[in-house]
Amino acid sequence: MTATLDAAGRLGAGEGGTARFFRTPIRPGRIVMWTLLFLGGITMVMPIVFMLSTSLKYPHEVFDLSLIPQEPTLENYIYVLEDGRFFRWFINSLLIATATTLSCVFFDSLVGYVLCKFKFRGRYIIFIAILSTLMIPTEMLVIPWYLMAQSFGWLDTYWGIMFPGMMTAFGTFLMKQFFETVPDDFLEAARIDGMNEFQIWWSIAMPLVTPALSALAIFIFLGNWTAFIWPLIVTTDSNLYTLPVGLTTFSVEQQIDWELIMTGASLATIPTLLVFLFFQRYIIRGVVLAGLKG
Amino acid sequence: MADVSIRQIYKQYGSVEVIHGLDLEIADGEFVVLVGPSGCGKSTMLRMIAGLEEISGGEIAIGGRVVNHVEPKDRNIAMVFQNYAIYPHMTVYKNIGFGLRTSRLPQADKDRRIRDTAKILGLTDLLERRPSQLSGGQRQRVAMGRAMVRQPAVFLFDEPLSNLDAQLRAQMRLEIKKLHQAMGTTIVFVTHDQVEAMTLADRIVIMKDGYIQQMGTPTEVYEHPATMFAARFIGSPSMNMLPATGTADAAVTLAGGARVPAPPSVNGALQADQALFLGVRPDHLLVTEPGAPGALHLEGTVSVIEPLGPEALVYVTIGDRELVAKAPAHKTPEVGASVHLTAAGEAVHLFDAQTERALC
Ligand SMILES: Nc1ncnc2c1ncn2[C@@H]1O[C@H](COP(=O)(O)OP(=O)(O)OP(=O)(O)O)[C@@H](O)[C@H]1O
Ligand SMILES: [Mg+2]
Repeated sequence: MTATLDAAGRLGAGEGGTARFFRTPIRPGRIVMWTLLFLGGITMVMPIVFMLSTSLKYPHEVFDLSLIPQEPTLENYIYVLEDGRFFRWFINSLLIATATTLSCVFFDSLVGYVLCKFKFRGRYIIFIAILSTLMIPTEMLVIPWYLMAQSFGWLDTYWGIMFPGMMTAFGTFLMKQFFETVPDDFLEAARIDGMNEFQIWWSIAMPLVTPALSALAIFIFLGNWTAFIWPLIVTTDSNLYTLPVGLTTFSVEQQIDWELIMTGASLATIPTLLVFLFFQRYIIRGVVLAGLKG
Repeated sequence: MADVSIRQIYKQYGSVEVIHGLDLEIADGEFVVLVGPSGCGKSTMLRMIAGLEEISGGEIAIGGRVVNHVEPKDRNIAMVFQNYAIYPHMTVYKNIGFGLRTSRLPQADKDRRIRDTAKILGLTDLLERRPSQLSGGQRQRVAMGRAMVRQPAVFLFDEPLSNLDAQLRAQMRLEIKKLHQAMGTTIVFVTHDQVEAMTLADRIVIMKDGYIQQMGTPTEVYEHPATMFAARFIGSPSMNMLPATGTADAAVTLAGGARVPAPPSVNGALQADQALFLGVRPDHLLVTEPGAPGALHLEGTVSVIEPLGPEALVYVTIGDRELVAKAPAHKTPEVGASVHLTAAGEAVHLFDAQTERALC
């Protein structure tokens, strides 16, 4: 600690340019914070760097654990992209993540809206019941889900993979809280102007909570894109595997081909990045919009 | 255009009754202002007329049709809200046109109506803007435009000016009055600002705790307040109130022993030894020379002076009470000076201390 302090002090005093650049004096607290953030950043980024680096290696180099491949190659990418399985799983994941996201955005906000803006008997109890499901971990739910899927004949179907995620308690809660920020006057004005309740929700209330919808869409998409346990349990047909499930079984011969798995995993991050970049704009625009209102 | 009649209206929230059997007849084309302190039930009344709030008892008719169970959209009313409620994600044009969404007019007629409305309100150049790019007064106008475009039978305003600064409020007040004169539509306007009520209304309805205290033209409620509450609520600064006692010969004595003849309007309602309050507005309580003509004479010490330009408010301490009087700017007394206050006989109001109602 003291050493860092001294070093920083000398750095600030000795190099005028740096001192001017930072403007504010470098305080010990700030140095501790930066160090922690830096370590945290490294911890988070390392696995990703490692994944990318492995995807560029030849099989014999995989257990080398060096960050920079000795002979970088794109062969893994060519192989994975040409392999029909990867494409199939990618499409499966995309389909499931998109469908659940659309469904959640629709139903979570519909239920959240009703719980927020309509006063009816039992609404508090319903809300608590929905919230309480948040406290049950997925691991405990998979067995009832499985039994349910089995008795309905949903094993090894897309619907079987999707149904537990078509609505979420978290999303309902999030949207209910956000609809609290929509003034009732907006809804009443629309009511006087002759809209029905569904139209009011869809074309007045929903546009006013776009930041929340974007956040929700990102959460749900990522959650379903990376979901592992349930898709693994409910599917046995490798044609229905989602990407995370499929990748763990990805191999050419009998052993596990890590470089191929890492290549698939690298490719799998692309849609999540796109989804994030796309919705992020709406989050920012939505916040600006909300700030200027009223 | 339509009249509105409200008969024995009650409103309960759960077991709490907030409106206690109000009667109010609003004539076609009349500008009625509901005024009263916060929580007196003004918004509740307005929302019941609009159909946004269920009626617990009684009857509301608009244009002769009982609308107790008619949807808001079918009542032929339009409402302007305190926070405007214009939609941030729509342009001014869309916002104004919103009121016409469900109408069956041909598109060209709708467009013309939207543009006409925008023109009346001076919004023509702003039609493509979004609310976030408008000033407070412009947003207010958009909100009015959305109500006007439907050409409703009745306009309902719920404190539409309270979010504006003082200057803009005065300007919009004038514009609303002009619009009413031009269109002649029935208006029910809610405010807690007595100046707004006085300047806008054909008729003022003063409410308190879910009861109507007094109804009348601005002049009537100013000159003949029916209750102590109405007397103090209308007019600024508030009416001065002094405890007094009735005498057997149509006069009252003030706490200090001064004797004031009862105003002619009291007509013998006054009884000997009746506990009373004597009210006099600051506008009518003048700083004068001793012996000036008048019915009410008081002596006191000046504690504060508030110059208002042409005249000044003079706060005068008399015993343990403080009264407000007026003096012309060029004859304002000094702080600490002893002054004489005079009011004419017809400026004196008498209220029963028990019922708080005016004697008449
Ligand atoms: N949804 C509700 N549930 C219970 N009580 C309510 C509800 N809405 C209003 N009230 C009560 O009804 C009374 C009248 O309310 P209202 O909103 O009409 O007052 P107001 O005169 O408009 O006041 P302000 O000037 O503050 O807007 C208040 O005492 C209020 O607490
Ligand atoms: Mg109100």
